[in-house]
Amino acid sequence: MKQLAGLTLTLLLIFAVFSEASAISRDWSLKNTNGGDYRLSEHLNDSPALIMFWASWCKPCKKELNDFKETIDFYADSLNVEVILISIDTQKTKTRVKPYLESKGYKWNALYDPDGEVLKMYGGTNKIPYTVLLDAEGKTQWKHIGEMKSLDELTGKIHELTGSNK
Amino acid sequence: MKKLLCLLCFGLFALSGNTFAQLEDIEIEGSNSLRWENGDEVDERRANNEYPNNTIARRFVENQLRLDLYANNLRFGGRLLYFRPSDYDKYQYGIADTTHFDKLYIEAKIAQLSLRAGDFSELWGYGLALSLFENRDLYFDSELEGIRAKLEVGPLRLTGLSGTTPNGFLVKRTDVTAGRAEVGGSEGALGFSYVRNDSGIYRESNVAAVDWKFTRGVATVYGEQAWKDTYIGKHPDGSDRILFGRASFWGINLNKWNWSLLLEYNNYNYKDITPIQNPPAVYREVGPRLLQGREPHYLNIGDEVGYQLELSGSITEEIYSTFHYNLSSHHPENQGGFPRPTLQQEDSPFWEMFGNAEWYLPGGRTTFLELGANEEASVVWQDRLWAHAKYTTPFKDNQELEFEVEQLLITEHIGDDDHDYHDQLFSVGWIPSGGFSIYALYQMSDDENLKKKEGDNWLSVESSVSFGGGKHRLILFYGRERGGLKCSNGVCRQVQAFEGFRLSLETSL
Repeated sequence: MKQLAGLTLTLLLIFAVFSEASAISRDWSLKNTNGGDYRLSEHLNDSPALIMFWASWCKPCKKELNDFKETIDFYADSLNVEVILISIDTQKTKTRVKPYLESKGYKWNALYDPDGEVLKMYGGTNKIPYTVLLDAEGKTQWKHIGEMKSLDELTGKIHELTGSNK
Repeated sequence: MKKLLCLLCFGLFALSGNTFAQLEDIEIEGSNSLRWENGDEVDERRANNEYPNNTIARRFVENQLRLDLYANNLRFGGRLLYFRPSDYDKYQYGIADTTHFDKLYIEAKIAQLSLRAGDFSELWGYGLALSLFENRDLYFDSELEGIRAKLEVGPLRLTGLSGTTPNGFLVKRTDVTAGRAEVGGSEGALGFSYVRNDSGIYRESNVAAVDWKFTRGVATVYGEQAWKDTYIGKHPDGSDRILFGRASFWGINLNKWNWSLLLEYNNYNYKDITPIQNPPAVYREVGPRLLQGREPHYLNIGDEVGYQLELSGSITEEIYSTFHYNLSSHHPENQGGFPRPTLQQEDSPFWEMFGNAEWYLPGGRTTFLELGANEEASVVWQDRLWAHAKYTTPFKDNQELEFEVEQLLITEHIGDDDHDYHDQLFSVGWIPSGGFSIYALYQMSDDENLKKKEGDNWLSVESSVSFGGGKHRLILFYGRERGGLKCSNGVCRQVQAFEGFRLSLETSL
């Protein structure tokens, strides 16, 4: 086992040294609610991305989505912000995700992160909702643990990143 | 292994800095979770004494510092765990004080290949073949320490892994080797998994599974079918004795006019259970809090068959509603045809039905109302009826008030006798700003047996505050809390009633 681990680590080192950097700083891929793949680097087109971690059993998460739907749609449409909902529902509850989003009429990208791997990549803990704003290079520019009562801080940051006026 | 990994991580870190020589390409991200509790908890060893003479001091500290470093296509990270469990947890779950890096990993990506060495979690399909995860609250950790490779070639994704689970309370040390092939596009995916489990504690087993998910128009169909063989010894003639098990999970979801219909069926008959398989339940796992305190149903993947039907959608733009029914039981003996659950008590049935509605009223007010009933005939035999209401209203200067009530009527069948109990919950919350909230919670019960064990009323106050631009969240709790079976993701642990002070600080670094 140790020999295998040593061999793997050596290979990792070689790969890391000789591989070319990804187009964005931190790339990942998750399943969407239709079963297809969503890779972040394929969707960041010189625009920021808003990632909202939630779960079908999380009432504050659902309230936040409902309260801010119009505002989020506005920024997605007018400033081309990539909106990504990432559900941390496990296999016990993840089949409720798609029915909920579709019956609420949410058209944003909806992905599954059942083992919280991407959540951890952005410094998330098990406290949701958790919101992260990325710049066009995929770097974290802003994050918030817990329910947001106002989007003022977030939208201010979006205007800052896109160079648009409020 | 961990020491070797740690050493190489630091070596790689230094080397990657020299190689890339661009600090702006290196990012560090992390989080810290601190939990501290000081009070008393019920001690099952003193079950002959009535509350409060059956308690023991609870001193509990846990800090998890998780750091990840990204340098171009290389990622490495780990978690430093400082853990001082309570004396009762040490006794009950065989856990001990510890301070060490309990998770370490390094990951590299080149083109479509991703390699990881160290600790990792994993979920394949719907978890009938492989589901590895950690839940610190339940002292459950089936994450592997080993290696994992993933390769993507167009629509094809291949995964291979090999590793060992840590030896803990709910999961014992075992070697796992597994492979998966998956092909998928925007409208569907098909996956094939094979998992081998080999250890001296769990019996050797092999699981093969196929999973699918396809969307056409308004319909999505999905599911997984798995076959398991477990080696259970030798026949007198020297040949292997193999136990054959199987598991099925199927679902269909129809969406039209902002309404959704969900139908799911499971038929789990693995017979032999290992903690690396963790398939879906076809019932609601998270319900009203009073219900959670009353022996919630938990999944038996060795022997369970069931289904659920759920209709949810928007009645109007302001009203979102859900109607649900489910039924599960053990496999009935001598049942012919398609396996299906029964309501016969000897098959340990669990059924539940509820309807709820959320109203989003003008002026930012929201209302939630749920009515439901269920019956559990397993560890206990109880009929339960409940009502749950919640109302949130803003008032001056963007402040918010929240009121919540739960009522639960229980009939417990013990032998020929029926016992009726009434549990109640009242909560009021004040949210003066986005970053601060305070809630008072009061629960009461007229259950005499519960009164002897942990009292008949529970009052607590909990406050949370966010600061540092939302990067830190502090939660303070003081008061009394009910015990009970705590379940998450199908894993359950008995939690003792607690009285005292609790602090939780989450930080995103």
